[in-house]
Amino acid sequence: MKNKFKNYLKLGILLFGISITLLNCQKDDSIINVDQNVEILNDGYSISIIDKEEVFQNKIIADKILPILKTKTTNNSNKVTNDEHGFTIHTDNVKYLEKDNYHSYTFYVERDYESNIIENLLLTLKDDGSYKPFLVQYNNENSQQLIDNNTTVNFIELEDNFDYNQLLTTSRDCYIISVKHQGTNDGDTYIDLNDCLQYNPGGCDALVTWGGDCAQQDHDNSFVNEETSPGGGDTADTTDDTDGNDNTNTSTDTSGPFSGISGTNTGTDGSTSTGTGETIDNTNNDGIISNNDSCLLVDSNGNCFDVVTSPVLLPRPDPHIAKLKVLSDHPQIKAKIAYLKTKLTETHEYGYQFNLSGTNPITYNEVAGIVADDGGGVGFPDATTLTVVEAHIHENGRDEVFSGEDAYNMAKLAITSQSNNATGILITANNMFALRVDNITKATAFYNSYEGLANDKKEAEIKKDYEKIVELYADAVCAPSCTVEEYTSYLNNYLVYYLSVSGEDTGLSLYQATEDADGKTTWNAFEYTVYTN
Amino acid sequence: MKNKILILLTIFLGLSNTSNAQEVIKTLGSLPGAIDSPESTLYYYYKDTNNLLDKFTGTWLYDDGIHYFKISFSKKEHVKSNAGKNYIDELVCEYLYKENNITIYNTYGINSNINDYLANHISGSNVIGNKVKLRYNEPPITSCARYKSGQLTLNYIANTIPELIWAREYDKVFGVNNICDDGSIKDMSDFLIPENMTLIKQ
Repeated sequence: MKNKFKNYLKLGILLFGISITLLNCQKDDSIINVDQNVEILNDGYSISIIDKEEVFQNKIIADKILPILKTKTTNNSNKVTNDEHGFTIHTDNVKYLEKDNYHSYTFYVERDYESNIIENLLLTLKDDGSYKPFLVQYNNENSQQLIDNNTTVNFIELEDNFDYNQLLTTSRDCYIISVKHQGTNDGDTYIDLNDCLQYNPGGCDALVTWGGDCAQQDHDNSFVNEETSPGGGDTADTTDDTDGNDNTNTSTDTSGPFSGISGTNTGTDGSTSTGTGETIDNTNNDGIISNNDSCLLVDSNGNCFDVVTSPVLLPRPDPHIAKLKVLSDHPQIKAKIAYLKTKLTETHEYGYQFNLSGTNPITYNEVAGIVADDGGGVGFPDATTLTVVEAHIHENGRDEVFSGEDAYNMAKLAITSQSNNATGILITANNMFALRVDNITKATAFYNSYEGLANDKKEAEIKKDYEKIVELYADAVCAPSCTVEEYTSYLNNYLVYYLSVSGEDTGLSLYQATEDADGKTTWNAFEYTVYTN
Repeated sequence: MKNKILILLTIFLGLSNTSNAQEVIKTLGSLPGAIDSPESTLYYYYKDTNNLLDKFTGTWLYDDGIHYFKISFSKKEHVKSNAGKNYIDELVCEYLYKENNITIYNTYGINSNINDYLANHISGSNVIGNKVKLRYNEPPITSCARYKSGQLTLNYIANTIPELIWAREYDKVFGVNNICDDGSIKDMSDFLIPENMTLIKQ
């Protein structure tokens, strides 16, 4: 008995050891796999464009960005929107810079209103493994001028525990950066922020003109220690601007690119401050950059630590939108959409399937859908690799939203056509929607999750799973009552959730069309909104 | 000894497989938050922590002398959808329906399979206050399945003897075809259980 116990104990210890080993073999949270589109620059930095899935492989970064999702996010999360404060962080066109043990992420930040500046959120690795956030502002939308080293960069420090919801609404001290760039064939640029640093305590809600040429400077970081700050403000102006007013900040470089600049900082509240510059030393490395710090970041030995970014000048346009426009503008498809609209008063669905029949010009073989009986959904012949579009109506009185079966059939179409261009179009009394394929692997998995069920049971299970999300949440938001328009919006909102990784993980995304007075159709991703109850 | 090692190994592997997944319990009826990162190992369990479904559970009866309908609801916990990763609590049922004392449906007892959607596919979680909306179906009479499907709303009335107001309507759209897997035509007939009733708690 005692021996048996010992044997079990040994076995238990062995298994525990193996489990620890397995856990230790797990991928480090802060390391991502980047194996495509990597560009190596002269100084050894590699730049790659990564998408949302690669970004969020890094759990630390995900934890930084995801909290912003509390207020609003969008379809398939290619961007993260904070509706309350009016900005969007694009997560599908992120620049990942790497050299040795250092790396940084740069996100395009888009304001919800017109702005003539380019803004990026930089998350740069610190030597303790965490990330320091900065807001980087370029005052010129012309990317060529940026590459030509002829632009102004505002570099705004954000605290480590910064509330990202306040990203664009809180004024902070900023740093004027001149651009040191490594031009490449496609104009890629990176900026080593420690190379050329100016401390500007004048506040950052106004752009500061900088005409210096950092590239002519010695890249020894120590120059900062001896540097006199530009005169964007004085010691009274080193605290955050909390008055909420916009300031205009004018400063003049009087003695070279990194010399002290006399300047005037005028707030719209009438406050004015001037400064003659301050000497920056390296005695305060408390994690918050101040005019006593010589480096943006230091390592545990007090040495300057890399802070490198590369401008993300534009968000990546959603390729589905352009393709949907081409499809819905095609004369054959456009004509059938118009025809289907005339069928909205019928008592069951109608639909058409479009199979590619010619490529120059593009022509389609149109196949009418089949309806079993009154109240029936439309069925299409088995799709082929040439099947591009399946369009159908939800007749008047039906919910103006794709059903679970529509999503299932769309996944089936994607699998059959083996194409991300497969499109499902839904025409309703007041709207037109489209489903597109973002991830064919996920669409396949979604479709296969119902495999093995008899067709009759399959239909019921799909309906049930759909209602557990789409109708359940729409009803909850609607309660105690809402208009038909509001309910349509809620249904489609939770359809986005249903399609997403948080719901049924379908690999599909939802788009909505708007039509102007001239009959021109514009497509947009349906934006997901987080409601609370 | 080999069996015991196998058992231990199975337990160990089971634990290993679940060690990365984290279940987060949310209250049934609460709205979802943001769309998570694709690599997230989190999944949600929408649990009826406020016992909103409990008032519907138990046995209820309607008997007008011609139509006799007895239904027993219970709460099924931690139900997963087919494709998704989340779980939810839902209301399910078994029932007996007679017309003029002739049994039409009996899903109790040996015929009962609370998981069988064809036998008693009346289930759901959509509860707001005293109302719950359920998916509705009835067993087919003539074929593999019914063509028509519906939705049922139950309104709980908290009288001394509680009542359930039963209101059913057809779905606005049914299946995309009316053919069973074996090639036969689905049961195209209407539902047999009364559309509107007031049931008394037993």
